[in-house]
Amino acid sequence: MKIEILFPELVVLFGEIGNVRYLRRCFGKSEIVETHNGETPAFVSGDVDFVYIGSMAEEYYELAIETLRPYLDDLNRYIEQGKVFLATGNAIDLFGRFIQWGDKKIEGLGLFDYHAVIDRENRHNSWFLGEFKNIQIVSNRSIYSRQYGGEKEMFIKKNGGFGMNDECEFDGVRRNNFYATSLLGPFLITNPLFTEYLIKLIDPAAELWNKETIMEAYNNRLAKFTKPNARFVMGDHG
Amino acid sequence: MTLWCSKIVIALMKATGHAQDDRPGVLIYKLCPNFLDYVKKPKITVAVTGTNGKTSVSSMIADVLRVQGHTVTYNDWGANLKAGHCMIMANSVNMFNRPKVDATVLEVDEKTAYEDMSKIQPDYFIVSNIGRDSMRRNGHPLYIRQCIQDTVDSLKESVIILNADDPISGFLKTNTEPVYYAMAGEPDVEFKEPIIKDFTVCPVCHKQPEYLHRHYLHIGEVQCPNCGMKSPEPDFNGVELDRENSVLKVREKGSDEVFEYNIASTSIFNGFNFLSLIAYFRSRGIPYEELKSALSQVKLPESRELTSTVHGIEIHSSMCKGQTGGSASVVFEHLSKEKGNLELILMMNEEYEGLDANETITWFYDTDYELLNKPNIKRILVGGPVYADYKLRMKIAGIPDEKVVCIEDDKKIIDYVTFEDIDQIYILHEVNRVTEGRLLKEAIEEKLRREKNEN
Repeated sequence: MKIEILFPELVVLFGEIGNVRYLRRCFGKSEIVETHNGETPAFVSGDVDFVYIGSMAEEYYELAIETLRPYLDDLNRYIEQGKVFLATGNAIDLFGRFIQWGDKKIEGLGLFDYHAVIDRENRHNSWFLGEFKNIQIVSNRSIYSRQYGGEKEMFIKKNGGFGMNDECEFDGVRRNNFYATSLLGPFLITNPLFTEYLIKLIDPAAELWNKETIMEAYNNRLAKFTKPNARFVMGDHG
Repeated sequence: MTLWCSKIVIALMKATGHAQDDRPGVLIYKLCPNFLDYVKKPKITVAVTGTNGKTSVSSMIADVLRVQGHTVTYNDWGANLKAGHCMIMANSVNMFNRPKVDATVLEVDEKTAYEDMSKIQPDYFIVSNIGRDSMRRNGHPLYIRQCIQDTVDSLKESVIILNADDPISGFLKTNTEPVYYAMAGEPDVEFKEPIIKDFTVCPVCHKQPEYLHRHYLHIGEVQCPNCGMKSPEPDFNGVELDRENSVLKVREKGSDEVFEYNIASTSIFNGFNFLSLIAYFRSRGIPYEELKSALSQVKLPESRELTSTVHGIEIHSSMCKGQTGGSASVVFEHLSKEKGNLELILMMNEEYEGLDANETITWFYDTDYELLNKPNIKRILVGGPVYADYKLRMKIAGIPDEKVVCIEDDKKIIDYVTFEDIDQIYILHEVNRVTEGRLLKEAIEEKLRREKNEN
């Protein structure tokens, strides 16, 4: 089991490192490969089982995009092979057509048909309840950007809260086993049933680590957000 | 007219026992949005901002100024936004807009500093540090850095005091020659790499920088092996933090003399707080002996920690900012070095505030709970709606299940407090939960007295 973390020096926000720490425990023996900006990603060699990229400061978008751009063919091949790739938080912005930041337009990797708009004056904070393959997803986002488009390859259908933008009925995009979501934090810990689905794609024998406790936490959260009067706005919703 | 109205309201609030209430400040800026442009400044005006330490530093600066015999206004009730600033500036002048105090000390929120500071134009502007804070409010450190850079850009003649050991705020561009302070590396202190890494990319070439020494989190002296970027040379260098004698030794740029100051706390983060204060007063030309004498009389703000000893057990109620891994990790590191057997009670949940805020657990995984996995930390008690998330986090940290109590009803925590084989009990409470921390501390004291007397 080989897990690649893309740009660990850039994506060190919002407890997302917890995703990798939990994943390692589910697989028992695993190897972590860290790829820094400017380096060749490990997925290019073809022996990586799981690639993870998380939230970053918007100032680092171009560094990440320009490191990945020369390897777009390799990334497409990785996706076509059905291998697992997870992007959380604003890392989703990298994979769309472009990112608008005030007057500045940053060309994205163009893997998907959506674009992102950054508004640093208004941070969007909200909870989200949704569904993917009959799995209930409950998570939160805290983000300066919103995403527009991507309907044809939507990832999670919205059942409560906010989508990728205020009018959107879903969150994230998906192609084969490439998943990008604007939801963030320890997403694999807060959504153990989705994590179970992912790890079994890689190794059918893999099991959730400390399943009883992680499910207790998940069920508590789910109970809260499936109540009729559930509150999905938090803090200053932008 | 606004000033007169505010004076009347402030007098009424004072008469009704609401002196530390920023509602008059709200009234001021609603009546006159440009009030801060017009109100006169006292001859000494100093503002302190940053992620951590701004309350301690501003409080101690106000104390030193008072010890020096100055009359001082200071937003000491935590009102570090516009309303608090309007009120404190209104309190600093008389009915005719003439300064009636010698000095104003302003604690300033780092995210919104620009709006008020660009108008007040303090003589000195101190930036303690920039690091990770509330995800929802502050986003990430580079965003806050931009907020403070915008503020500093607006300060035309202010002297800017910067922490050279903070590679995020230490490289702020200033309109005037900045004053830097830093702390020398401590050779015998072992540094544990924290989970969160707020300074990982060289601001010049975007390659990975390296630390020459590091104090806590991302605070330390850096250089970039790729482009040669390095931390600024300090004007005030804390050459030694003598914990045995509670002394901070400082060497000033251009001098071989080492100045010794008795300080109230020698934790590394308070060492930095005192250093920034020394940099401020010495930059203003305050003689060493006068500052040394004043500093020896200064205490940390009381709300930070309350301690008592009952039947030989020390009971502490300490502030520990939740919702952000950095502050909590620093406190945990401090606790991990404590001697004797410890019992910890974590009250850092957001929902204690009754906000129905649907607490996120992102910060759990930015926080080094691994530091609490020590043989002498005997028990960890935590309650609240996300109790099961705590349980999982402790498991991931490798803390044995038998040491951990996670319960849903936090009000029942007191039932699980035990005293056998315990030397110190720490209650770590959120910033806004000083009262609850004190009440739990008193309840523990009572339980301890009752149990010991029964035996």
